Amino acid sequence: MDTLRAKETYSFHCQGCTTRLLEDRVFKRVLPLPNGNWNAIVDDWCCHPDPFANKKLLPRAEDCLLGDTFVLLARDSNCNQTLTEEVTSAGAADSQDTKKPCHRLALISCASCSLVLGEAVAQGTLKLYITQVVVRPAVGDGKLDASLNRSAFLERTVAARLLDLSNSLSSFHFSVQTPDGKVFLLLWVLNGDSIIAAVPEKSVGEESSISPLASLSPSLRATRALKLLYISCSNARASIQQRE
Amino acid sequence: MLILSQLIPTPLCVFRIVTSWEVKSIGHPVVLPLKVCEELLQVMDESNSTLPASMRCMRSYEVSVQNMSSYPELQRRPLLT
Repeated sequence: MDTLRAKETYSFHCQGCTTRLLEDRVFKRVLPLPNGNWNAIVDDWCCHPDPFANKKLLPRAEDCLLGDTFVLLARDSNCNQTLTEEVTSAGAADSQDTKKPCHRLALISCASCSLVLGEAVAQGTLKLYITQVVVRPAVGDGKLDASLNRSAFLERTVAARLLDLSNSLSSFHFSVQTPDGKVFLLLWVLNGDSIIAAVPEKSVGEESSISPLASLSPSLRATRALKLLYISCSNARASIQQRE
Repeated sequence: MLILSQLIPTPLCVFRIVTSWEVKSIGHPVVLPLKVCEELLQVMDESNSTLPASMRCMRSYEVSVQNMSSYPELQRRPLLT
């Protein structure tokens, strides 16, 4: 698997419209961030007050920090032309839940197609989600071939990430959350080595007439797949509320 | 013999599972923007709808099969260690 490396040049493209967002970025350091919820166990490791309390881990000018689903980068002057920023109140819509504070999110979007790419987590720091950007080594003209199929990109990116995480954490339960901490989806990775074959319905109906050569065509090739169980929390809550 | 009601997730069962995951803090957090969460659910629902009816549910969970075929963008994605 390719990873971002220090001292190599990369360009960042919008996944929606392939516009180049960040040009010729070279990082001095590429560092993994601690996994989610790391703050919760700091007390178990320190015999003194938490040295990280209320401190965010932010990148320096030529750093790239890698999270589970995002990268943190320093903003540069070119960003003003390719990115737009809009402040929203994430908790405002959920007016019934008065216990949770209203989170203000500074959303970062593509200036060309308005696809939400991430957030501005602090002054001069960009958080870009891996499902929203395509990163390429900056060689040649650096253009992407064509607009990528959105759902296929999302499916493969998330599936590969879940498989990586389940391998590294030996944990197979995941809760997909929004940035304000609201759980949206529960996922349970069952099987990372399933094989699926998509066969057109027409071919199944005419099974007897398929020649051996036709069965080797690309559309009939078996591919690797991730089998998972899922529950939508929003659907579950809505169903219960309807019953009540 | 399986009873049909065991195969079809009921809202109450689903709600119990959601609550149980929340109370026991099961599940490694995977944070994505709301719009992406909705897109992801749609992708999973579409995958679920292509499965044979007998394979769409497992207890109270729905089943999804995510394609991981070699994909040029994946090999070059910024991920991760």
